Amino acid sequence: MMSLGKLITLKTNDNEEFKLDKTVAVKLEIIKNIVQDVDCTSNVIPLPNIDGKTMTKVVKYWKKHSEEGVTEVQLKNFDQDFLKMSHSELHDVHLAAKYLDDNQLKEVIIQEFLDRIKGKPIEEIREVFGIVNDYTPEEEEEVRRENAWAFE
Amino acid sequence: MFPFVSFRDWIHQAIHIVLLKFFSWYDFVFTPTCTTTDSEIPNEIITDILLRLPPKSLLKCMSVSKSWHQLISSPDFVNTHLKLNSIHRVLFPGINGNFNFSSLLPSTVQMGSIALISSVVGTTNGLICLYNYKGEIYIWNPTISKSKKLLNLPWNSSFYMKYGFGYDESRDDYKALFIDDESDLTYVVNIYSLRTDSWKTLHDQLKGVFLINLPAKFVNGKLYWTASTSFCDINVRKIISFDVAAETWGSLELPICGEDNSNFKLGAVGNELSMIYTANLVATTSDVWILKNSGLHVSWTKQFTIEYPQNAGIHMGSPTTYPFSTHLRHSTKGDILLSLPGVILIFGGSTTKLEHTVDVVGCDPVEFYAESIVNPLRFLEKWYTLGVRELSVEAII
Repeated sequence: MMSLGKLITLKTNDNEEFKLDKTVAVKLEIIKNIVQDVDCTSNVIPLPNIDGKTMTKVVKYWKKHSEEGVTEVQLKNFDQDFLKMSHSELHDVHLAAKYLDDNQLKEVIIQEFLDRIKGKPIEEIREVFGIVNDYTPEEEEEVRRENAWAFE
Repeated sequence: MFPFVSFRDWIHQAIHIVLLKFFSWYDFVFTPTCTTTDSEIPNEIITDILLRLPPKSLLKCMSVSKSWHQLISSPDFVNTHLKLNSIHRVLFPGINGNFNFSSLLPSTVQMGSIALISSVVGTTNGLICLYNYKGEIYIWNPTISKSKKLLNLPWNSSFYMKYGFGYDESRDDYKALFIDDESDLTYVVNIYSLRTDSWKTLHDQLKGVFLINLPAKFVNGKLYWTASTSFCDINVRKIISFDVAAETWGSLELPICGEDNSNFKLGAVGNELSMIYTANLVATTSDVWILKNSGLHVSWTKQFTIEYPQNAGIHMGSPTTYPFSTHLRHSTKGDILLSLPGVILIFGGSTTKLEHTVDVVGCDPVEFYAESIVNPLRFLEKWYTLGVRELSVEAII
């Protein structure tokens, strides 16, 4: 078991350290499991799949969402602001949330992606996901024709 | 939730079908990385996102790229999408044997009164199996506008024909059953498999049993009919089941023996078989029984009693013609629908109180179905054999 310190340190793959209140950190399944399973004397938990830039965002989100007395409206405004990032940053946060098994954050990110592509033309959807169109014009025309009514 | 591991395996197979063509794509999908640029968003998140989209948007997204097309048409994606999304719609008979669709909660549905030419054999996973007076059978997905005409029934149908349509999850196959009188109270059963695109005929089935409802109720891998002992016996005596995967028959006792056994209706609440029992034609309440299946042991549980609105008594006249209820998975409350002649009643799942009454006089719905992107034209064995062959090549390497 870990020592009973109040703070837990999360260390990213680029050696950035984040000190978190234990009560905040153990809300996450993965941290709780590490805390229970790993027999180590220090309170440092390595996060080999996450970089410091991404973790900064994740920690910011956690802190706000575990703030005492925070209202629904405040959280909504915070989320709106929080999600103002590039597609690739958004994706990094999603992967981190997935690794940390934080379903709430994962859902928020997926919803943001859905909002970004909702009702958008194909060209813009490609842009959001950085996809290169590998159809020939004839092939694309064929696929569109096959599902023509979906474009109405 | 989504079985990512098996899905990845499938992607592996799919990639080997097209082999080297997508190598660059393969690399970006399977290289574990947490730092990305705008040009490389892995498949995993794309799958997560696409799974939330409604069918129409998914069809549109097929033209984004070849890999998206492949992902969206893959059986694993299609079947997972099916489990996560269920926008329910009502199918109404339309003019000249066409059908009209409506979302579930129209306040009033206005359509002409028409004779229904095609009969609905059954619906499952967004596919509707239809049978018309010319003996033609179709498996149709109205959501994606795709249909497949089946080979003609290898049997001349009679007035007494019963049918059913179900899904064999173990083989990812859809089967249509047409059951007809043979002689001496036995049935001949014709089974069509979408995967093999062929018919199989079984003779001398179900001795001494008379199936009552025309279309079977498909629940959890089995088709169910209420049954009596002969065609002049209108009392439900038991329930006959057909296991779509194993192709074996079974029978179930009724939950109770009521004062009038003709008033049992088969339905489905969620993934469980249900029976709605109304004590008599002037009753203002019905009991909803659910078949609980705990491994080896099956038992009926009286789940709740529904109370009809005061004017609904007049609708109770045809007990066996409209034998279905359904459970709406997209609603967190899990509402229960009951379709009676002229009206759809929607009961709150937790309160079991009547919440909506939808007037459908003159155009009674024929079925409820959930939207899906299951394509009835993509079930040829050949397509799958190719995948398996490529997989063995991979194993040798």
